[in-house]
Amino acid sequence: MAVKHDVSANNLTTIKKKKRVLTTSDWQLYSLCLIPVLLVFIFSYIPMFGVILAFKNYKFNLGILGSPWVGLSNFEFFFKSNVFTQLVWNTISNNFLFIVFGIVASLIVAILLFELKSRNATKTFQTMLITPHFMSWVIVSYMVYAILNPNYGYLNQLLSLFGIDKIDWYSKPYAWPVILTITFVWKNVGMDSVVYYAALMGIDTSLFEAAEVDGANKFQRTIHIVLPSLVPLVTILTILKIGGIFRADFGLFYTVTQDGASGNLYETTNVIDTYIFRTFKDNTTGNSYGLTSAVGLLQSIVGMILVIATNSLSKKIDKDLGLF
Amino acid sequence: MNKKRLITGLLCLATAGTMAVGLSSCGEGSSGDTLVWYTFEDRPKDLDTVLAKANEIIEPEIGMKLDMQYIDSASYQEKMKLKMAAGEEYDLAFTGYINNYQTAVSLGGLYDITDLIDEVGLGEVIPEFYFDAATVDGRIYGVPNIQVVSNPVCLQMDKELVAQLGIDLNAIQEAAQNAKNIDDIKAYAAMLDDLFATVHEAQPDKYVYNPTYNLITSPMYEELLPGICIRRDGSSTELQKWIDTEEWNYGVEKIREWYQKGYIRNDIASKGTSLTTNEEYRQIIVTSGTWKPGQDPYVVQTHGYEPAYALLHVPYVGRTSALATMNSVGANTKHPKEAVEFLKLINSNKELFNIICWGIEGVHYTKNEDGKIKEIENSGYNGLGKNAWKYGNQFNALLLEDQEDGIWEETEEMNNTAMQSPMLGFVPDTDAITNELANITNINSEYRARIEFGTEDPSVYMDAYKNQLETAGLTKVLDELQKQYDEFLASKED
Repeated sequence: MAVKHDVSANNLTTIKKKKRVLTTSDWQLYSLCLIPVLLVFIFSYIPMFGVILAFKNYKFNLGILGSPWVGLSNFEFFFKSNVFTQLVWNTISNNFLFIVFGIVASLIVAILLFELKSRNATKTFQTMLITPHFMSWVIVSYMVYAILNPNYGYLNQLLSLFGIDKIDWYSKPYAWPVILTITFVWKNVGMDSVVYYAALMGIDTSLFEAAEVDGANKFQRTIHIVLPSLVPLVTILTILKIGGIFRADFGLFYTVTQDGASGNLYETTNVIDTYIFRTFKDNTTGNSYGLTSAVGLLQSIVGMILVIATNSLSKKIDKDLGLF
Repeated sequence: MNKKRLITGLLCLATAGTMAVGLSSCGEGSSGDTLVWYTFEDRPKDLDTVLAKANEIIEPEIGMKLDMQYIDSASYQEKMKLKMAAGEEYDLAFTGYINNYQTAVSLGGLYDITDLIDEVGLGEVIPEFYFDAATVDGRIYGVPNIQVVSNPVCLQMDKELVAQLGIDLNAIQEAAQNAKNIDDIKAYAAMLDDLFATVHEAQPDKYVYNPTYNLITSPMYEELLPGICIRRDGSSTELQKWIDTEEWNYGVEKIREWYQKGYIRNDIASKGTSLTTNEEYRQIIVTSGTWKPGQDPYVVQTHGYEPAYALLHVPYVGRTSALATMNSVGANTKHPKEAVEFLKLINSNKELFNIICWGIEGVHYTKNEDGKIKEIENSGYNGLGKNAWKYGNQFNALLLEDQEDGIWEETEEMNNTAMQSPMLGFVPDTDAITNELANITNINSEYRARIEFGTEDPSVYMDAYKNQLETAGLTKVLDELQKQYDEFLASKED
């Protein structure tokens, strides 16, 4: 991936794209992808056989192939759900916020890091920013709880210093898209900015020298050199993220909200993945495998359609943009 | 170049090797002459010694050895589901409150042992009503472990505090147990009001009450499925919607009143009702829980006081209470008959049962002069017997030093004389109402904090809640279940 970014970043600034064709003499390159390709094949292609579960009433003792076909009836459950629109809206709108603010934040961070002259400072900030990425959502959820607890939370203590009444954040659904976006961006900004930072390192330094000679200040250099060279990368990453817009980060939506605070927060935080989990967590009804596979398949299909749509849209804007 | 080729080759080999290891490690499981029995807990260190001793009894009886596989409790449910889904050959597994029996049956994960039960004579060691409870569509897929199945919901308090404040728990118990209609319930609730007000005044820095059980409806109703209930006393064969019963609606108002008066912690929505540490237990003055004979020593450990109780209904065998702890035979077992024979053996042979529970005398425990057990610390086989209900008939387990004599007899007596649920043995077929139930479950969890903890005024949300339930098809669920229940009752009369 990183190789590709560098290439595309350079394309824009140097010469027009020249297609390079791999030949058999490049077997060393091929062998490098052997393991990743195998992994994708084993974990993404072989299990695809399992999508037939979405059309079956799966019984263990009959096996996957032996279980009876039920047509599309497994999909009915989700579409007929009384909260269908709420789920779709929450999933998409929250993810949309994450994508927009995530990209803006990580771009800013990457550019700021790039402007730092001291290598040590860059390393320090990067490490600090990336650390949250390695924390599990469960730990993050307790950090958020420590801040937002209705009685002892830091935020409420702070508010009471200013004479403002304590607020039970866990019963205020409309605060949560903001809280979740902040949490999500905080956790992911470090890792995302690394990718942009790497691309920035690949910009031809002669461009900056030339700009300096022409008397461009830092802001002008950022607007006219840095941002344009990041456009292809931003497009690709956005397309990939939009592919996942119908899938919610379960850990974030389930644990950070303390399981939707016993229902009080569902209005804005009930998303497809948590709904499915809650419905089938202690269920005693039969066909949970079929129903959940159906929803999973649906999420994948919507994701694929969105990827193709965004890709062709960005290619309409500029032929060189786009993932494929 | 040669060197590079070598490295690539090695990489390929390494990949292939990892895969092979990954695949082959799935293959553990039963082998030739061993019965494999899955249960949950961390694997005891000294398991092999204990199993060797147990097999001295098992092998002559059924001609096979036993191998126990312990899976840690946190992942037991998921791992068993995977094993069933993968069609693994195993012989026995714990089913019940985790690795749910009814789910496993409806997914086809268990072996039908109905005929084997008669052949092996399992009925000689297990009373019939346990099998009634385990019957699904006329077939039986597991054997309930005999233990307490009739525990009533109770209020629990510090005995000293009760005496000090002059609280009459007996009066509350009587009022609850004799409640027949909404007026009785209101009188009983008024007593709870007084109780809560008194303790709140006496200990204002503690939380009065942790709403684990619904105090208002528990005396009179048993839930069948989300949204649907029936009267415990069997005075009516009609199933009801919770939202249609006066008692439920009254209970929602009461809990709101208690929440507003500060009896319930105000962060209950995010905290939930589950308590984990002793400190948390000790912050609560009035606990609602279930009662069983001989539980006092445990209460002293966690709550730090000698308890006094008010039992909110008479001992009662609920529709599913016998299904909480069972052992079932795996769907793909090669030795169904031996597995059932083993279940008979473990439920009848006290010596074997106590070896599995407590280990070997002199090595893992010593007996005192009353024949009670004192565990030898760090013997590598500790604490399993406290949960003897995992393995078989709890009443066959030897007592620990701090347990009173006769608690098993008392429990057995309670089980046998308890009132039985009118729905005992009724297992509804939910295939036709899957979507409706999924929706109702979801609506209930959305309103959980408001309804169970009283975090909002019912007048604000109640109409919306009821409308949503009706749109989700609560009436359809009720009609379908009522139809099945009537059929069940008719078949019982034959």
